[in-house]
Amino acid sequence: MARVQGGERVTVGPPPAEELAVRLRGVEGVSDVVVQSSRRLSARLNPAHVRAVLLRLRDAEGCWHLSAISGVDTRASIEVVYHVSWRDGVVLSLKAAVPRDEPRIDSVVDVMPAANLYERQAHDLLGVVFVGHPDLRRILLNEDWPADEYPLRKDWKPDPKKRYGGPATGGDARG
Amino acid sequence: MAEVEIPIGPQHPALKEPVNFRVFVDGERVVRLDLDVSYNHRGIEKAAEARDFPRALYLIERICGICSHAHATNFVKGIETIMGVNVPRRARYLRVIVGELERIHSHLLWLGVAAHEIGFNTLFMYTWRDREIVQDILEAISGNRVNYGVNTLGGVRRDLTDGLRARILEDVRTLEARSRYYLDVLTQEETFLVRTRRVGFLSRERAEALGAVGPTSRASGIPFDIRRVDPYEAYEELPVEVITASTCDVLGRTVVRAREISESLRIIREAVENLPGGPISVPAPRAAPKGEVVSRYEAPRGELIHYIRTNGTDKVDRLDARTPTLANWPSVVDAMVGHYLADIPVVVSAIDPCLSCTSRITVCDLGDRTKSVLTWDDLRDHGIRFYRERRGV
Repeated sequence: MARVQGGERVTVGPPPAEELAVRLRGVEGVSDVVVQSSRRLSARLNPAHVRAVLLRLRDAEGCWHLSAISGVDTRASIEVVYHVSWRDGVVLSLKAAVPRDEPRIDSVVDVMPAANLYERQAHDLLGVVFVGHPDLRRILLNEDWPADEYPLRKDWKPDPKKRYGGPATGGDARG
Repeated sequence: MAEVEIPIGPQHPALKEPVNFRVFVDGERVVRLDLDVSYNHRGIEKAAEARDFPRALYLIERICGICSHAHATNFVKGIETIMGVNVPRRARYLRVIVGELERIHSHLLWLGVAAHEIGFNTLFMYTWRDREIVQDILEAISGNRVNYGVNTLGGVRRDLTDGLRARILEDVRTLEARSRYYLDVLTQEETFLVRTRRVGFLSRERAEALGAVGPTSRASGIPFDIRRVDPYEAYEELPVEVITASTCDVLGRTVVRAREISESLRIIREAVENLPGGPISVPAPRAAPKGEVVSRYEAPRGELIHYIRTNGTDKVDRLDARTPTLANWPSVVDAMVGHYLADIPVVVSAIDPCLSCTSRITVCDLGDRTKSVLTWDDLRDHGIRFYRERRGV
């Protein structure tokens, strides 16, 4: 079956996500590959293999675009989710679970430079340490935000007695 | 080279995303650029976890004042995917019409800002005048000039009457003539060409590696448009021509946007003329089952991603919003190296950053190690003066 789309003939074969899922199931460190729809895939990723897997996706699978890295607190662990995408519209979400008390995972900045700011984001808001990141500074929170407080963690609650930056409460507003 | 420490200072309520740059220069040449996007973090992702879907929708619409419809549509279609709600065709078309109107107003706004940054204020006045036509249509449809509030779970809240459809088609004709005129000006006017040609070079390879999106990547020859590769709403039925340029510079980014205005007008005309009948919304459940979705949208500035997880309640468990401007920042840093200090305003503007321009710039001269602080206006004046003295424009 073929259809005309904007003047260009596009042959509709098996959904690209299905094909990709078959190849992904053989990759070391990737498990539980789920085809969510014709252009959405998700899989579990062993954190120890993150660099090898992304390198392989980049060099062998033609995946050039790291769309985003999301950090999620599942209460059992912190999940670092790598959304990588292909030119044909397929997005693969690779979920790497790291322990909440020691959330460490290798940085992928040298594999995909686009990861730089996304890793800093997950570091800032969830406390994930990306080992080997060239410049793991805060990116979103203010510089006087207390250390060891990560607002996107589910158990985080602002302490009314504590300062989260800015002028002291109850004092002179000019700080 | 000593690092320069700048206090992250001005928290300006008028800014959406305050950005500080540290620019290292050798004479007039930029050696290195460091940027800081922190501070006005509003915690919307956290706040969204505390609101049910209809309330979260209004919050998310306010992530951005310019591309509010992009955020709202992207969120609502993500939740609808998890719920399994089938949005009526007419609602999908209406979402596309408002989305393309938003793209035109955003691109015209950008064109004006870019013209202003190089001191071409006549063009700035022209584009912003024409932008009013678009704003008036948006107001006629939704009652608002920004934050249209058109979306709801299961469809849209506003319909088009036949009278309004006729008026939109008439305004589209006016705008089509104007967009042709702008394309002529931008590709032929010497003032504009001198300031944009070969400025802010970003090769295709660098754009791919740095994850550039939207017009920034398309001007480096990457045919990547979510409306085409990952069609949503009515874009399957209204195929979009992906506009690219091969010049990889600020001129290319300008031409891509100018041609995209024409393309958006074509889509609006097609959608308004072929608007399907039927209802504009269907009832949606209050709660969503446990699930996850990666929702993508081609915002005016490029690929917008919402990663949403739900947990069986009427609230999101996690919402991660990656805006196109964040994806494009590394490209600015890269494209600036080796250029004149005078080019900073136009190169930064060329990604259409979603921020106003009050952030300060610190200039550190490598020769005598002196530091000085320039405001954006000083830098803009410097750029205009620099090119007037050297190139006579």
